[in-house]
Amino acid sequence: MDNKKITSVDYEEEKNQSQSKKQQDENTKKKSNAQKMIPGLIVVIVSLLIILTCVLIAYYQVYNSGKQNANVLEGVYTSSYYSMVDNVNNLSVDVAKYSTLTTKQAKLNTLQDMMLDCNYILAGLSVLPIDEVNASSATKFFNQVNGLCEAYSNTLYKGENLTQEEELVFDKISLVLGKIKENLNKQNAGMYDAGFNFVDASVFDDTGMNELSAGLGDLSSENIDYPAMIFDGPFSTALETTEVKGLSENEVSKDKAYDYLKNTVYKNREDVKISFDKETNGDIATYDFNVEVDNKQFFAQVSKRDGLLITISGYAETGNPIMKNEQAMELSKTFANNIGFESMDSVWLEIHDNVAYINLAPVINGVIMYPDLVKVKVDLTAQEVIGFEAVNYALNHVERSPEFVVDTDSAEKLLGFDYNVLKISKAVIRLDSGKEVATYEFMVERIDGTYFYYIDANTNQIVKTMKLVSVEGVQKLI
Amino acid sequence: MKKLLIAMLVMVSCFFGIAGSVGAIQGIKQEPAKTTIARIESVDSATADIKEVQTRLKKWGYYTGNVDGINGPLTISAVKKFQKRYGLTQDGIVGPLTAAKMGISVSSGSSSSSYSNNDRYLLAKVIYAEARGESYTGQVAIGAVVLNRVEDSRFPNTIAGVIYQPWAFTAVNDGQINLEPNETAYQAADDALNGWDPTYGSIYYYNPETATSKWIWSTTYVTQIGKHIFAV
Repeated sequence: MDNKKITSVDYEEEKNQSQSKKQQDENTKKKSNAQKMIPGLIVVIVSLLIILTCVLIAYYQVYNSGKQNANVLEGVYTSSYYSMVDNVNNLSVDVAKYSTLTTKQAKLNTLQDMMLDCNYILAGLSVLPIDEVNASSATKFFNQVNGLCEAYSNTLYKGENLTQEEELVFDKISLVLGKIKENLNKQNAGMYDAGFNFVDASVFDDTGMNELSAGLGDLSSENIDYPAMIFDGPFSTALETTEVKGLSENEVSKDKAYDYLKNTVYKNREDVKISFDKETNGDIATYDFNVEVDNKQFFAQVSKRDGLLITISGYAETGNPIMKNEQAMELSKTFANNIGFESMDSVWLEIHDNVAYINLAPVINGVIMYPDLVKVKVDLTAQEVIGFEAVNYALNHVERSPEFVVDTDSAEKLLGFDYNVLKISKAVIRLDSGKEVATYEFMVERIDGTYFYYIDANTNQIVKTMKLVSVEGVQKLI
Repeated sequence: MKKLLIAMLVMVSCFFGIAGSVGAIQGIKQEPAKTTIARIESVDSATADIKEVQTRLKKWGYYTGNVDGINGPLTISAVKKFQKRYGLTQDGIVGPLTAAKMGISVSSGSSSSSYSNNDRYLLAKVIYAEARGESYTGQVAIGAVVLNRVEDSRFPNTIAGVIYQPWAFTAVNDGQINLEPNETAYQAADDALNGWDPTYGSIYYYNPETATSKWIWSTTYVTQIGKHIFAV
């Protein structure tokens, strides 16, 4: 019984001891685990600190570089703005000066100054972040003033006089400049307040207007009565309406346009699939078709008036050219003649990779009619026409009877020295003003390259000079 | 301690590894497009291609000797005559000014491309950035709009001026203009530069699904090609 008791007590003690030991072990284990975790924690904390430091450095660098970029941009905007303002003032003064001048030379000098002013203003306007509508009206105005001054300079240079009506345009220009200056002054006043920043002010709001545009005031034609300016140059108001002279009033149906494409343009292609796409209502109204030939996609436009092919647009895969240039030219001429463009001859060839762009012009009685230029794109690998363009033909083609009064010897005297005439052709060309002129085209080789001189066959004056840009694959053909 | 350092290195590298890959994904670099742009006219100034100089001078009557590539007295004398004719310093040396007058570039290794090739490149870039998902005709149309703007008095008068006019093209604002154009974009640029204009003189285009400017709706519709409406 005692033994039993002893045993029971011993057992309890042993149990307690065992539990205590277990507890101790657990504590030791926990302690050991905690001790083991310390280096890990140190790793995590130190790594996080390193990462945080790096992120902060990177952020600072990005922020700093962004700030630097913004400062540089601010400098560009500020410089452009003040340069523009200065030149608007200069132009305003020059216009005022012009009206007081009486001699041709003084007027010529002032017109030259005004052209320079306009160019600086235009450079500034093209950089400033003004919304599109306001910028476009002001840009047009200064482009036109520039063109007008050039045209007037040319007139005075030729020894001719400007009419009273022509001179009066400057009064209208002066009024508009006054309005623009008024808006600029308002903007200037606002800018003297501390904190104005072009970069911040260039962000557009929901209305599409930004603070800068608003500050400059409304420069659009709705607010300023910009005058119509008609002169002998590219930006003349007279050129804003396009007249389609090459097409008759005879309008064809969509079905007829489809038949023309199917049975004339793609006459020999039985696999052609043509589907009507839509109508386009530009200066030349067209029926537009999607065309599929030999798994290649094309887009074709046929004019509503006269039902003439205006455009084929197609892409050539890169490949090795198989067709020779001469064959491509023959193909282009045959193609054009077969679809209704007669008496065409190739006048220009340009090759890019395996694509040939061939310019064709009608040659009537030995005179090249450049205003009626047609362009054909030939895939030299597939050996087929993949593009066609006849907008110029549609706009300009008329029957012409050009006169050639001056002889070529007199014309050649204008070419100066050190040249070798490669070819003389008779040609009708279209000037920037839209006027057509009968000319002698002198293809001339000079020390630094090939030039084309177009000499008016009636006034014996050089009306256009072109230099052949040295690009591989460009050839003048006739 | 060594293990500690290694562990720290691994963690930091992992972080920057991930950050780096995110950066790489954000700035996907396009493979440069295969292009055939310019014939670059440059001649090494050291050699100055005496034969070329002699050929040119002989052609124009300044040089009477043989085209042998030797810069002898006859050649120097001919160069001097040429320089006199063109008001240049008569030193008999084909320096940059004399060479330029002869039509020989002496940019000594650096390349120069013609103006039209810059135009082609810029046009291809804007076409690729603005319309790479469009049909081929849709891409030509974007190029045509840029060129129509150059001809229009309301816009800057150069291709670069039009493309980089502030806020004019989304692709310039968001940086997509800096992607390298592909072969299709180059061909579309060639078409546009050669006169193809399926938009018939349009100077605006917009995607009706995403256009935010109210003003754009006041323009006159000309046509729609793909997702873009073209207008004047």
